[in-house]
Amino acid sequence: MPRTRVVSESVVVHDSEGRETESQLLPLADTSVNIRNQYVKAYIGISPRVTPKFWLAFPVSVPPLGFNTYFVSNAKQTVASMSSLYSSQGSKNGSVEIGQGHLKLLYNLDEGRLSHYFNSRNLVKANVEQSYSFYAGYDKIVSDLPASGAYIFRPNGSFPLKPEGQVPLTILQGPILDEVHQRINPWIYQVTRVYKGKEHTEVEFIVGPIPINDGMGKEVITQITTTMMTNKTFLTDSNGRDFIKRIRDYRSDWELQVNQPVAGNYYPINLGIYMEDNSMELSVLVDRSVGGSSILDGQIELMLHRRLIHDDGRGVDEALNEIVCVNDKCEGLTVQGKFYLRVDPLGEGAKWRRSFGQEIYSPLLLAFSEQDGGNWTGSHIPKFSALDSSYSLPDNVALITLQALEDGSVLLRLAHLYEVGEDKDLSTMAYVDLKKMFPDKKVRKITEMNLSANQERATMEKKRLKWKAEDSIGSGTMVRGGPVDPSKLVVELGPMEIRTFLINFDDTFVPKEV
Amino acid sequence: MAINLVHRRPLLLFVLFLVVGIWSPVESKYIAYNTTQRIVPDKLNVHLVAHSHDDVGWLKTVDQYYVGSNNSIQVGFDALYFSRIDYQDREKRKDLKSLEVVWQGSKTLGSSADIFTGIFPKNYEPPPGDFYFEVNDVSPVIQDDVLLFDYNVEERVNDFVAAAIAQANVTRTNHIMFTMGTDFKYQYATSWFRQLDKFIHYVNKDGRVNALYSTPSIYTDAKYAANESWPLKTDDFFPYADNPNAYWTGYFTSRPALKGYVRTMSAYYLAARQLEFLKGRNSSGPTTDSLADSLALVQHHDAVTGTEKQHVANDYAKRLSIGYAEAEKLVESSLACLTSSNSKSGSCNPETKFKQQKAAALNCPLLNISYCPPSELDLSTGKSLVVLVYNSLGWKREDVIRIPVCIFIMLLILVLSDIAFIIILIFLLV
Repeated sequence: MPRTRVVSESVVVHDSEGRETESQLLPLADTSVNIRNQYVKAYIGISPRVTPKFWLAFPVSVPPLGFNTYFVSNAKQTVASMSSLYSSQGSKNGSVEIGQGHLKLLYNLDEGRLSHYFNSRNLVKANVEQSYSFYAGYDKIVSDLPASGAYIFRPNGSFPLKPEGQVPLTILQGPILDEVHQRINPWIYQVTRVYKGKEHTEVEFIVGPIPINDGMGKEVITQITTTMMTNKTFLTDSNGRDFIKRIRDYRSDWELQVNQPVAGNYYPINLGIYMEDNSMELSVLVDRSVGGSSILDGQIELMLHRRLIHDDGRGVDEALNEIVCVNDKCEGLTVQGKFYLRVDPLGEGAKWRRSFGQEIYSPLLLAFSEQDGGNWTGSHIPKFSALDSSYSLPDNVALITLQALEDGSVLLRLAHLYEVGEDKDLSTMAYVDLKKMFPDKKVRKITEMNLSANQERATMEKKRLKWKAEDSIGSGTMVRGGPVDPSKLVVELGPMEIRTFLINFDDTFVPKEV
Repeated sequence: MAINLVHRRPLLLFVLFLVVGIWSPVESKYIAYNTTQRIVPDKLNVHLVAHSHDDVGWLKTVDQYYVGSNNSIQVGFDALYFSRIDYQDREKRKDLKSLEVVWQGSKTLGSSADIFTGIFPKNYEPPPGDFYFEVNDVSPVIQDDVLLFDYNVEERVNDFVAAAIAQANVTRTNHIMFTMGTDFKYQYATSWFRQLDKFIHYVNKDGRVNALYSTPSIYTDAKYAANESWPLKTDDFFPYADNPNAYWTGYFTSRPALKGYVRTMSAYYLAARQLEFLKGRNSSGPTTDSLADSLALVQHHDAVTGTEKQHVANDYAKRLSIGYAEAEKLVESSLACLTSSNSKSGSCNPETKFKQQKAAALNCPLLNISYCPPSELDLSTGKSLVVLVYNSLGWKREDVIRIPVCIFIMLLILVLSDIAFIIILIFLLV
């Protein structure tokens, strides 16, 4: 097997305490460079002056509600590890293992595709394949029968998308992460990443421009196929909060007459979708809202992109045909996004879905500056947390709003991330210590509000109509946080509870000891 | 800004005169729009609710396109009314009189999140029987001058009563709602209200049912006062089909780039808001308000859903980018402020910091397509790149970041093939 090894002596990364941090260089894929050139021009009207040849990847550790600083500089001796490049070209059989940490992905080189998933820590092992297909959009509007359009999904057959002949995998390996690059077809490119310190895989897809010159609208999906026996059942999130059980070709409220076996089983995926068998659960989380389903047992599919040539007669009066133009040259829109996959022992997947779901939703915010010489840390605060130095929020609580309002008060929303019974440790009452959350401020007044913060919670509860339901299921087990004692300032949150507060701080600023 | 009434009084009187002048020709024998009419307990009450498709606080907030099961809980809403549930579900609910339910959308929150939910028997428009009164609609208007050959008061009252009874047959209690309007209606409200005024007048004169100007709140209170037990609805109403081959499940993915942009901006807003708080909100400087406004706008049921025309989608994206640009200034000055050594004293003056260091902190919104000019700094000059990493989560976080770099690099490429080792030394200036 030909193997290209690249060695460099060029960059080094230091953390805020001056320690050298391990780093890794990964060459930019041609596909990424092309997207960069075209879309930078399309978005900001300029052509980039230079083209970077590498990504520099390095691990960071950042305190809660705070920042840390890292320094990238030229190095003579120390090195950022150049990823070793590895192409499966020419290899006719065998397999290759990806992953430097607990998670290993096994690729079948013969077919150039993922075949197994294995976690050496918890010994979870699954046959996992991943592939792309498209549904042809139904194209005629006859009386009641609409075409696929902006609203409606009406597939007319599905067609697998496979490379023509054998296309080699390109594999980048290094101390921080491994990448598998796959050109699925002329308009789909995919990078699968396995980070040494993480137990999920990240899949970045680049889909488009979807060709329509054959007169066929296309709705592109990816399928994750396993041998799990999932008994028609999968779960999807509701607005990123509760997960709702979905059963294929079934509705709990009435006896469903199935007319659309695919479109009629699609659900919105905002946070994620997962399925279970008797020993494990496979979860897929998304970076934006998409449609998804489980059309076959053991399989999850996500619709990633759609380009259509007919209107569906629901009011848009346009075909959903997104194009991008640069210098009057137009082509179909290319979409780049990510989804994340992980397999856990049965009953243990919630922790990742909830915690990592927050990380997807709130990526680290990067800001850049430059320095001449090494004086930054002398003149700047390199590391900071707004919380008390020993404090962080409990694992089951997210900060969803922290906002200074015009009148000087502060709006705070805290959300419990778990449902009842979702996790054996984390579906419990959570406690947030506001004194430690705002260590350098003194709370003068705290008022609990309703979720939209336009009235006090107590007022809302008092006014709220209590409706009577037939066959009401008892809710005696429901756990809700109690009122906040203004001297203790501890907020309790029951499962799935979101609490909203207006806080007035004392005007005197108490400097924080650093 | 309050208008000074003393100085503007002549103008105000003139305006009042104009208003009264225009209003006065309305035939006064009919009821005019007011919502204080009485409910008649022993009759079928027909609540007429005038609306277009996008009245704020009405359909815009109550329809279900992008609403999952738990949007309204904890806000304090008492009821929710919408139309779009599966056509099979609707037919069955009509049979069982279960179009109006108590919706318990979260297993965990249980009955504490109960909300009364009304599903319309037919879309969100007037009942069947020709009750459309936009200027160019063909429904027969009430002709109540006996000299007219098409005098039709009794006929139209009968139509109205028949529609009311038909709806009452699928509804519990003696209250039903007629949603008088739909998409793209009310370009000229007078043509609607003239007819509604007449209907209320003649229907109540007829006396078989009681028609009244109502609102969703009045209707909700009436339903509540009936002290009925309602069917329980759990989970949600996805997926939605309006006929056997029309599943509205394409919009879950439509315009994936806009959906991604909304998500990214939403996260940036969350972080920017925190930084605005940490630095101290400044009314004269940039704020996150314009990003907040544009994000609120794209929550519309034809925005983030991807079900708008292309030029409208472009407008949404443009508004987000304008909001981002202002929030970015705030983020940069906040980070400059928080990193400055004298912020400890409590006085944070980013103006001076910006002068001291040319680029205090620059964000890279196009980092996802590997475009980030600040990170493409030429390191061979001895300068180093400072990367500030902000974590908006309340937990300590270990992550891997990646940035595009331009480096002056020495590459040693070893190509191993079946035949030989070839060592190539390339001196590459990137």
